[in-house]
Amino acid sequence: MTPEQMTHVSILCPKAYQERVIESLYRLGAYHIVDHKKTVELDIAKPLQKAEKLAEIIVKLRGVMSHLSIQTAAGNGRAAKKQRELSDKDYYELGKKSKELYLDVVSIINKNNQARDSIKGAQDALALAETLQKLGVEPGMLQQSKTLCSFIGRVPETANVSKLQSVTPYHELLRTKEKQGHALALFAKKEFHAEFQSALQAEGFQEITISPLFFSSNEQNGTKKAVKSMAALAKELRQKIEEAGVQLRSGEQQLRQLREQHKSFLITNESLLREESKKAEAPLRFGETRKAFTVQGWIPARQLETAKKELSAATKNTIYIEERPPEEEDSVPIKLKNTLLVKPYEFLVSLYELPNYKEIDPSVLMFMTFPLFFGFMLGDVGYGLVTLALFCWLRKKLPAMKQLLTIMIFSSIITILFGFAFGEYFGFEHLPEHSGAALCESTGICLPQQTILEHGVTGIVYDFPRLLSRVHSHVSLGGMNILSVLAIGALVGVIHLNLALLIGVYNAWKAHGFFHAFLEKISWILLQASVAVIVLSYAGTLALTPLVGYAMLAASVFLIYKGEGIQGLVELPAIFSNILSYLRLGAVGLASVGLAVVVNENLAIPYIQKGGIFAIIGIFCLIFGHIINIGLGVLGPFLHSLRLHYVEFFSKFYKGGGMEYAPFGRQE
Amino acid sequence: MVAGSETGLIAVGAGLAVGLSAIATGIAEKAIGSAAIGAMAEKEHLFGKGLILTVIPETIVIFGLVIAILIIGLAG
Repeated sequence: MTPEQMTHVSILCPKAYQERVIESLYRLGAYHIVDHKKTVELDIAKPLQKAEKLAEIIVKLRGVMSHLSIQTAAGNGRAAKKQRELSDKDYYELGKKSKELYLDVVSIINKNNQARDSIKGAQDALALAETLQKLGVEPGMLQQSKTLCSFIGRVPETANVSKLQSVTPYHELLRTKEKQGHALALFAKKEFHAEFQSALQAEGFQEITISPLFFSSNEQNGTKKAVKSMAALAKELRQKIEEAGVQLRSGEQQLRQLREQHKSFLITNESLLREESKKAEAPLRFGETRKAFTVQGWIPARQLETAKKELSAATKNTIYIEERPPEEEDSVPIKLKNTLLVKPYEFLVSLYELPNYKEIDPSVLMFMTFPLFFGFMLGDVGYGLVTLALFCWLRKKLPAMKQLLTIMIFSSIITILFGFAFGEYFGFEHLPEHSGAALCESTGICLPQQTILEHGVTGIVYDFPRLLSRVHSHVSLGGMNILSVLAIGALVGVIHLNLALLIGVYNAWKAHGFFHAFLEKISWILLQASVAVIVLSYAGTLALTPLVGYAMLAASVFLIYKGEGIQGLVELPAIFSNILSYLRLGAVGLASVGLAVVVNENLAIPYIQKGGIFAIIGIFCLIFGHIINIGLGVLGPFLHSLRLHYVEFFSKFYKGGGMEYAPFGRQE
Repeated sequence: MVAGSETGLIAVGAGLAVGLSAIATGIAEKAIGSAAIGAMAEKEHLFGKGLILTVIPETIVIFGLVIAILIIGLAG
């Protein structure tokens, strides 16, 4: 019930054995290193020599992997498990190979990018050439001229080009219609340049730059090639696009081949080297003098002897190991230990906070109540089966979420059990008369008949067997008719909270002694008891004068004040609102039943009874409505159950604040 | 069983109990939720705490729902 016992271990050893010590600590995989902080006497140790080289190779490998879009192995991967010692020669060869591979990949990628660029450029040029060809502009006309100026561009559809006549009739205007607006080319004498420009601008003229046109001839040959005609140019460009496309495809093919060929090499060695570099950089967490180094850390007490033996063997007994149990001011790393069934619930605990070293680990408590709360709230055989199937499927699909999904599978099973207890099947509490009768005749399972009044009409239905009806069963409390599920909720609240307080008593007793525990925790139990006594004596159930209750109340309030001070007094009503908070166990379930009933009886069944096309709409309503309700039915109970534990339950005893145990070694 | 219009009023009362308390919850969760998201953006492992703090005002609407159920109980 408490976290794993830990022992503090300090190691002092000559530097000559540093690598061996690291190696055996790594293989042990149980030593939680506490980072050394630099002091005057002890500097932070330097990483092993190979660290730099390793980092270089890893960067190359990861570069190749990201270019080839290969994922690194999660954690250690299977590859790193068959780990072997790497010699200098291995490193040399790995380095050489990864460098070659990196250069290969980068050069192919550069070529591909070039090909992409030239395709893009040629496509732009081609589009321009086609426009000019349509306009009837030939390359010769675009050359610089001493006497003529030219405008090539686009105008919107609404532009009125006849206005250009007013500048001077002596110009040449070529026009062609495009998808939006017109493309135009205008040639005129140079002296009219300014006038034409302003006239064109008034019409919304946008110039087209013709420089992309010479993209191909310029770039590759250095000199401007004389192009005969636009048509020839366009043809040349098309050919160019095709050639670059072939080149690009072959480059991509090459990358794919490299990926297939080297995938396993890359993944294996990346994870191998990642682990190696973890070892090489371990000394950054050590302290060192000129000749020796020291490490501080924690190890589970069970593994202490093995560790000592291995370390001594690795260093030929030149190692000094000091061990001591944890002290009050230590922050001890927390390793939870639970049985296989309870293990998944550690996830829920760590989602909140890990317990501190002296506390009870609440995983086992959550294991006992979390699925019960969830099941009580959802409580429907149909929904339970659907969520069970869903979570089983997800558990296979998402191994990373295994813990959470195991909890949910367990909760779904409890949901089914509560579903039987409540007699609810997809929100149906009974079968209509004819289907009930048909079931009785065909299978021999005869459900009890019941006469109900629904929407002012009495009818006979076949009721599912149940222990308790969530919607209809009431209990009488002090003259008030209260739904049984709400009453059960409050009762569970009282039990659950007092369990929490009792655990709090244990924790406080262990940490600060009985007197403290009495003031801090038992006083709250006394407070609840005194209120119960007062209520019961007024109701006449208890043959006492209410004064006894008031006396108890005063005593408990005084104790709470002594135990927790003013803060305790302020929180006096909180214990009752916490108990009332457990009413959600019933209320969330009622909301879920309510929605299911609306979907079934008010939405789907009236449609289905109409028949024909309406039946299809009805079935659609049924499916859609229940999908929504199952979605809410998983989210709501999950969060509410979690919240009851975190807020109401944990606040009575749980302190938390533990540091996670992260042993040096291979990641599990 | 009470007469028709009184049943209607009871239903309105129940609706108000749930509706108003849901609005209150919404207002309370709005501020907490945005702060929790902000904290999570800084430190991802605060998800658990953020979730818990965000759902604390849920109690308000649960109480509303309980009251609504009790009110509907009046209608018999």
